[in-house]
Amino acid sequence: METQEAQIARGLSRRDPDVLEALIDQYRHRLMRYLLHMVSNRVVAEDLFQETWVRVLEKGSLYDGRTPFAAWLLSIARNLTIDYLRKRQRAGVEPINDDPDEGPVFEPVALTPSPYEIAAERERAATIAGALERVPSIFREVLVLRFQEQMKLEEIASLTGVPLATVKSRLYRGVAALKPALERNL
Amino acid sequence: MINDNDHESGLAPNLEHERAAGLLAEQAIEGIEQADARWLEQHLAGCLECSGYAETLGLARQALRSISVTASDELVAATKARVRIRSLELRERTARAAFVGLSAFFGAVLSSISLYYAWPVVRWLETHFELPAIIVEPGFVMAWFLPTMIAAAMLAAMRTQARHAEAVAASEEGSKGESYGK
Repeated sequence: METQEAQIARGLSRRDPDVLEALIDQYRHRLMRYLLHMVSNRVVAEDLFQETWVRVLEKGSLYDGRTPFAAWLLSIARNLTIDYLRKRQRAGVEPINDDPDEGPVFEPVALTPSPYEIAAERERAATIAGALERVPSIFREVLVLRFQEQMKLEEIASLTGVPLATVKSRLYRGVAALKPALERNL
Repeated sequence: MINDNDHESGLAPNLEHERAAGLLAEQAIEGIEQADARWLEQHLAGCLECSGYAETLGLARQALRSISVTASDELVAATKARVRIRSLELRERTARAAFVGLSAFFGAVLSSISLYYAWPVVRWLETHFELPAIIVEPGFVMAWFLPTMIAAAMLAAMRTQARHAEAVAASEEGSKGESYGK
């Protein structure tokens, strides 16, 4: 019986737009969350979101269906993000941050009906998001993949193209970098 | 505040805090062994500082999971439209390349077959008008295969363009990874 990954690979090799649309629906929030964590700017993240799916269409024949589609998708998004960040760096543009008037980039899930709990959750999420933004991007990426996307260490290594030991070291350093900010704010 | 249990490992108190912080991170990242988990549990039970950090780390992980980011319906609709348009463009490009390729192939076959029948006419022209064979014959062959050569050149240009685009994408990807974020 054909696996879901194999079916996706077949659809992508045919450049079937229906398959692409189903995938966009399935992975929309996950991809957006990853991009937003990487660039901390909704407008840029939305541009990269569109560009990622166009790239998936163009390079679909390269997906062999042996690895999870989510990891392959995020690796494309990652490469585009790196391109974008490098261009900004070369252009000497200041680090990106959302307009302060725009409100928080991330919204917490409404887990409880209590207004107090919602407010507290919102505040905590904003604190975490703020603390995360201050962590260097190289560590922030693995923190997000491990703790938010719940990816295995091996999957993160494959996605980022670095050895497993490097992933672990980045995670430890990421947690260490997060520690002072968390202790101050939580 | 540290209770007596904390010193059972034989480590100095500050080293015990370091060990606890290390184990907490390890537990979150890749998991820890049962013996370490027991030691950590004991240490946390008696150490306010470390248990506070453990709670903070737990809250951070929980908050990370609870942060919700949504891609709006408008964005998704715009993305789908863009993907559809690009898909059409790619299909057209593939169809065009196939058409040019077939044209080159059939042009070569037809030119070769028809040259056999046209050759006596070339010979007659050479004789009748006393034209130099060294110029007329290669010139005629060139003219006869001109449409095929044009189609082949177009096909080659299209392939070169596609390969160039792939090479650029591959070189961009090759230079990523380790250098990122440094």
